[in-house]
Amino acid sequence: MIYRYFFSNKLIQSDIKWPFLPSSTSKSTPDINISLDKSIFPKKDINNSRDYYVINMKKSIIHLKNKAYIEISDSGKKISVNIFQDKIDDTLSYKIANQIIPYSVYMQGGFVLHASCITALDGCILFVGRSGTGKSTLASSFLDKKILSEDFVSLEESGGDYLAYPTIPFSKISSNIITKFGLNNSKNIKLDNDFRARNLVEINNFEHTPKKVLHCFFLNWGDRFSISPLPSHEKISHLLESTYNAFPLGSCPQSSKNIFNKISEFIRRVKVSKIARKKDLDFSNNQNILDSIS
Amino acid sequence: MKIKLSSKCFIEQFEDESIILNIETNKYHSINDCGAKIIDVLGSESMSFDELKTKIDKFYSGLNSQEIDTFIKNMLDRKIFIES
Repeated sequence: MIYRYFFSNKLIQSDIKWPFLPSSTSKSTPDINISLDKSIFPKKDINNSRDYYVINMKKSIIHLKNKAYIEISDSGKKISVNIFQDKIDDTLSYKIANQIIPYSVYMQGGFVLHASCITALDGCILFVGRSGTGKSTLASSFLDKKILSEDFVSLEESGGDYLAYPTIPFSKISSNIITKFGLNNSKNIKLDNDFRARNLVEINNFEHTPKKVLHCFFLNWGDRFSISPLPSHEKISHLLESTYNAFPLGSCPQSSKNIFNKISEFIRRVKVSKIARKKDLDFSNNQNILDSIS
Repeated sequence: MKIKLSSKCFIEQFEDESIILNIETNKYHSINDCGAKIIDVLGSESMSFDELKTKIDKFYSGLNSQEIDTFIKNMLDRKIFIES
């Protein structure tokens, strides 16, 4: 059985059914092939006690402890998966959608960021920042806006602008946020090994069409709410931390050069600012964020 | 001794500063206005210190000689400029 999906502007073909990926009826040549390969295993000398990633533009390997061993080759076009469990659980399926496919897009020369993205005006805005800076929570707090992507966003240059492509309509947030915003709790999925014990919650107000990026905000905690400009070197530094890139960082010179070019182009075309906010659940400054979009 | 910009370095210029990526060391460097002018003069050529200073004086008079020396030494230490 062959399954086809269209996800993050890529046509994907697989002999495995992946629950989170949106189906496609397109007959075009796929951009990514995912196939089950029971003959591939992690090398014996790697640390098998935790997840393991080696990412570069030629070949990437990912070992998801007790779940699967994955190789991405052919410049990101081929993904081989050996699954170590009886059935594909939600955590593995989510990781295929939100980690493996983004790495495949990166290997194909794409520009992929860890970010949350919501619609605003006639486009969208990105929230970027380190893990734990509240990207998903802030995105979810804009109750009258649609969420376009969560966890990662694939960006493509188009006529001098950047388009952000929708991902999967699920958000990774903690239970107190689900309660605070009264989010849909009917499809609430528990993720294995999430260090902040967050759940996956289906997003009701999901945007399914790509949108032009109007502004990118870096999130940070601070004593009070503020929005401030950033010098170019800080924009580059923050974006480097948030980009799907070679891992270990700097291990692939070609990748470093490509990412540097992409980030440089991005910051020339998209306004980038820093948001500092108190670490609480006060979202009364959300309108200030929307007002700052240029 | 002649110096030139390393082929492992890539420069992007922005309104507020120039940034250099050295893929040999995998380090990023923020370059001030004086540095950007020196790199602009050096371009892809190979020059001695004296040739470079003469050219800088010609195109950007007013740059402090000691500042130029310090910048060039810094660039050599960081493998952004290399001997040729």
